[in-house]
Amino acid sequence: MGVKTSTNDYARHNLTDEELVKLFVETQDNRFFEKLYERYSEKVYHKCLSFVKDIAKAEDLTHDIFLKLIFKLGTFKEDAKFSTWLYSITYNHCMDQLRSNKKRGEVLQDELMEVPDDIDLNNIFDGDDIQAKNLKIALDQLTVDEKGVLFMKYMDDLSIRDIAEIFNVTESAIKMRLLRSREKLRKKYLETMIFLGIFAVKMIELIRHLIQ
Amino acid sequence: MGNSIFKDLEPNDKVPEYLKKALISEVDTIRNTMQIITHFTEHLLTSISICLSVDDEVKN
Repeated sequence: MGVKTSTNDYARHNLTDEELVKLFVETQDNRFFEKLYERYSEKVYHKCLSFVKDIAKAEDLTHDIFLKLIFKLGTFKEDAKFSTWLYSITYNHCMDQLRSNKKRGEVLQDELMEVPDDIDLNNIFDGDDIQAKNLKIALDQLTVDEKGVLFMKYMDDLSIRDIAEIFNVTESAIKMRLLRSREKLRKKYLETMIFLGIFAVKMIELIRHLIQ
Repeated sequence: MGNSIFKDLEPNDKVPEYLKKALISEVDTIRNTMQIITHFTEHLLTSISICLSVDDEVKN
């Protein structure tokens, strides 16, 4: 379908994201942007909520991301995929806002190592008996960068190459980052389970003691 | 395996409608402001160039 579609026809045609971007840049007609907003606002908002867990902050972040998007639309490369590009703006903005003052040097040192080929990064956990509530607690103990890379890979199903482009690092660095973040999440999850288990045993003991 | 639980963690709250309205109105405001600045600058530069050319004519 040609992008030269009349602006009045846009509602009848199911234009692709890339065509909507081109039409918005050419005409500055808000309807094209609104269409993009309708398609992606939920996704962006949910992503922001995953990071900040606060409705007001998530709204602010979503607003800022779409405002940033409007100013950057002119630089969008036609051969790129709009959704991946928007994810990169979303993740980078959220992580920039939340990133602690920690220097990234220590992280980069680890990234010089290679991830062995026999390690499968496609699954975050080996089994399905994972409790969402405990997983959330474990996730909250990770840094914003660690959460970001895990969300991209296991929530949005982005490829290693896409994630590498978003972070502007090499694919092997992303693999290492993924591996490290996944291992940390597994460790924190296990710790949470053990902690809650001990807590439950202690509570039962206390109740028994009170009854007797 | 194990990834489905991770996908379930994504919140499913609705985006408030006012967010879209606020965004569109802000975009319009920025665009209008840019137009005003462009017009003002154009007119200012035109006026300055006219003034300069008048000065030159008077001197000659």
